[in-house]
Amino acid sequence: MALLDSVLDRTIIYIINGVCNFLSLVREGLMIYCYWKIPYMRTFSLKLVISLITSVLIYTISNLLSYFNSSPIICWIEGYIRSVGMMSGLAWMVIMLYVSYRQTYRFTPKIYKTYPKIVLITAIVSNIPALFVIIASISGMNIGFRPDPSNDNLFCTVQPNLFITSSFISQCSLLSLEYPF
Amino acid sequence: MKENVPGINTNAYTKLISYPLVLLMLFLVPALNRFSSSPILLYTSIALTRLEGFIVALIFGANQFRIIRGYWRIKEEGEVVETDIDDITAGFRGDVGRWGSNFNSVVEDLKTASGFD
Repeated sequence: MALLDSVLDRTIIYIINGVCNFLSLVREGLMIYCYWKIPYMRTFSLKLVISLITSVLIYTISNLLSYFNSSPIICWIEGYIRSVGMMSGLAWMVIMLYVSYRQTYRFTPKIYKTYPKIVLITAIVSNIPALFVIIASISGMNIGFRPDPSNDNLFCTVQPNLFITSSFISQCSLLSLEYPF
Repeated sequence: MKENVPGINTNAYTKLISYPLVLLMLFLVPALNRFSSSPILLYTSIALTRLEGFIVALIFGANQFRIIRGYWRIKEEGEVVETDIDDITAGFRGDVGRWGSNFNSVVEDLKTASGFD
């Protein structure tokens, strides 16, 4: 793993993080501002796009919080927001692809009515992993939002990364021992 | 494709497919970073993931600029502007898409040509 050995390297990462996040923040802000300002943009399709942009905005905010994550509380907030932003971004992209598939093969003129339901489901789904981490941590498991060693401990994510996979594999192994067929 | 099949908007397909490809790149570079000690790869992965919002906005932003342009035209000339993305959720159908007509007739033509009823 790339562990950085000088203050200069860390400074470069902070500068890259700052500049790229600033560009993203400005562009996302402009899109959301135009959406609210111009009523003709409030179509179902652009609602999906703006929802995706909002998810990415949440992710951008988590990256900006990395400048203050020396405090464990901020680190937990950053990790939680990062997890929610990433999950909801992926969820919205899947929804956009599904809507396009569904509309092409089985056209529903009133599909826009499903938007509130989609928002609710996405909100629940995108919060599940982060909530799982919190509940697991409270119940004494060795998991939490901590600085990520793969990014030289600069950004807070779920640690250890392989916790979920390994626990899943171990549970499956136990089950397979108990129910061999 | 746009030229051959009037009911289908290729621009919309391109936009829709380009974002998963961007996401793949955004996940692939940090994944490579885990197997390498190169600082350049680390910088690239951080820059790419932080630019995600900018890239998404670039992909879908063209529609927004078209609407803003159309917004002023609506005020002046009464023109209604639809977007590629509208075509996606409308199912690429000509009656609501920008490319004119007959998604269904294209399907019928394809059925006839293939001998499938």
